Amino acid sequence: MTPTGSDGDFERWLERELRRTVGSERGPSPRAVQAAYRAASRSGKLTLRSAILGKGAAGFAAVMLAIGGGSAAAMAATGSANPVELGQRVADIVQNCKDQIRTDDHERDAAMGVDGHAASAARNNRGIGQCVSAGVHARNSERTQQAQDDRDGNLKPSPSTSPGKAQDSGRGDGGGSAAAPGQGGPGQDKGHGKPGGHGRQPTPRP
Amino acid sequence: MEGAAQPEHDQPRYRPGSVEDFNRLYEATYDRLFATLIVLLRDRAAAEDCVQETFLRAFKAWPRWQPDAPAEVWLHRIAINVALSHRRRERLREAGEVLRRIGMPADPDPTQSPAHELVRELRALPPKNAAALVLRHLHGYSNREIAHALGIPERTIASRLAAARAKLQLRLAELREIDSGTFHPRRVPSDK
Repeated sequence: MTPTGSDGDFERWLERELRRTVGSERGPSPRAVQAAYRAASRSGKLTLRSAILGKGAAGFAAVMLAIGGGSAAAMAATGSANPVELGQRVADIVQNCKDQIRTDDHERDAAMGVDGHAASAARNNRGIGQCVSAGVHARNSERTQQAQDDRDGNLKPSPSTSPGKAQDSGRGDGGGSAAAPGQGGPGQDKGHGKPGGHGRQPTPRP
Repeated sequence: MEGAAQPEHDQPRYRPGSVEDFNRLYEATYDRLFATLIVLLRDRAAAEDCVQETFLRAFKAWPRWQPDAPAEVWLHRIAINVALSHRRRERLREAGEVLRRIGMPADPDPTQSPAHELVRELRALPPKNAAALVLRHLHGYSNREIAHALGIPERTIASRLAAARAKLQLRLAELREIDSGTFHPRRVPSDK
């Protein structure tokens, strides 16, 4: 049958050919367990991504990726991969950077005798990206170091032989507590006896 | 018609927000969405990507889904929008590639499989017209369902289908004439 002829003939030909050529196509993942939405919802990314992108905070998402991707050790150290908690930490870092920049600018303006409000408005969030990035990296390094310290501490027979390590162990989250209040403090990490922080309880939420 | 959409009273019932129901919906409609997107897009990989993107978007909106149209029609609407966005991005990328490769022979695209002439000609139609033909003649959708899936007024469906069929028939006839060496260009009816 050729595709020429009356409209009715052509429609019948079209239906038959579509079923033959396209209708027989089978995609590679027909089972729901193979679907991308299942994987995304299982890992929590679906909800997380929609929440973040819904606010239009692409930069925020980038920082989240930096934290999430670079801090397996940090998650192990805190015992928490809770995205809400991670988000809270990033928000804290951002706020801390804003405060820091504002304070620095104010002090510089006062020293130079310029109009602080006008200068601050002009600067606004200048340099905040670098500050947040540095904050994230510092936090990751700190946690990696802390995890390493924990491992080292556990290899030693007695804490009394390494007082410096004991201090470091307590410093881990405490160092970040200025940027992330409520995320832990000195002494919180004491008494963890397993390498890499395994067996820790999730960080208590305020 | 084999593979036609079920009448509305026979539609399986889905509860908005139910993950279990969404899984059922996925398994019931995946192949049909894939078939539609195969026609609208260039290759199977793109069709698969867009189907998965469709279900991702639909899953996010699933708690808010309202059963004013069959769930498959709603999915088709999302899928066609995803495919249109994909085609736009693809055209931009191709334009850049053409500029980059000016004066150089084009490499064959390894992801592009040789398509049946009908599929090739459907892809050459305006995408919504091609989609309308597939929804009617492959899936058996009513005018109302096609209108819902395409996001256009129901009263325009009949004329859109007729114009798309006429253009497709003409193009296929010309292909035959080219093959047989008797081709004489004709005036192609314009379609909106």
